[in-house]
Amino acid sequence: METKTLHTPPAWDYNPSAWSQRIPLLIYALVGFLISLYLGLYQLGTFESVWEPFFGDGSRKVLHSSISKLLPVPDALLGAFGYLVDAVTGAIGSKSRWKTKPWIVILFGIAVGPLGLISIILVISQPLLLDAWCTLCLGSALISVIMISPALDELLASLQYLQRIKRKKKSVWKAFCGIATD
Amino acid sequence: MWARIVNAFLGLLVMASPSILQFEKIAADINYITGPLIITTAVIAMWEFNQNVRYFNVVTGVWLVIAPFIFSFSTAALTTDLILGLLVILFAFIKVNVSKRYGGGWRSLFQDNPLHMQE
Repeated sequence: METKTLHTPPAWDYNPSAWSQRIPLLIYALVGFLISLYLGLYQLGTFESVWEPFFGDGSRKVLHSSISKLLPVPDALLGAFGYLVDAVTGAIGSKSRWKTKPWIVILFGIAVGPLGLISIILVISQPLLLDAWCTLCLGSALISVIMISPALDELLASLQYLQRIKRKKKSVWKAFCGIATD
Repeated sequence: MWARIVNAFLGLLVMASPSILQFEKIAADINYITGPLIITTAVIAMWEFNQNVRYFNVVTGVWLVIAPFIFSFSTAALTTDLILGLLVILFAFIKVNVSKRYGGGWRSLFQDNPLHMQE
């Protein structure tokens, strides 16, 4: 049960930077990372086959498609890197980081967004362009979409804080960087 | 919350129906794009402070209703998308009573006297 503490932002009924709020996101990021790492290692040839319980040849087709090879690094490894960035930016900072480190909260919000967006684009391209589905790819995309909202409440709290700083005519830039102005 | 879950499930049906019902390519392609968008919208809107994101599913729902006519879908695809589209629109309108305060929410960022500055 969430309760207000001294670290709760004004007019909020819970603290979005509380560890109880952030730990589920770290778990999602870790699971996403492990799935993507596994798929990336398959793309690199470390494993000969990939686990695909529903769609037969689907995962193999998707993971060895031309889309997956667009960039110098196999795309699942880029996904793994994205989840790692999510985990790191989600973990840094105390339970008052909406106030003490807005820059990290905003970075975290920015990391989660594009990861989610790219996941959706890749999900769409599976049947559209490749005529195949990949179960673990879909699972990982779902994880990145689920992470979007829970990451955004902290962002809202930080933006409200910066709004208060601005209205008080203090330095928004300093507040953003976590240099206390009040 | 349950209305968002229903829409996520409907989005899944939109994604799966082309295979199950053997849609022609144009109908399948449209479903493959719209389905994930419906699910994503519904999932994001599951969190109270973002619940207004649900209105984007009115757009996706309307698209599912009109696309079959614009692109002359087969009967199976037309019927499926018409029904799913109408349902998605319907459930997108169901709102939850917000149970917690979020400092006045996203709109507070544009207000002269936001809730979080009133305490």
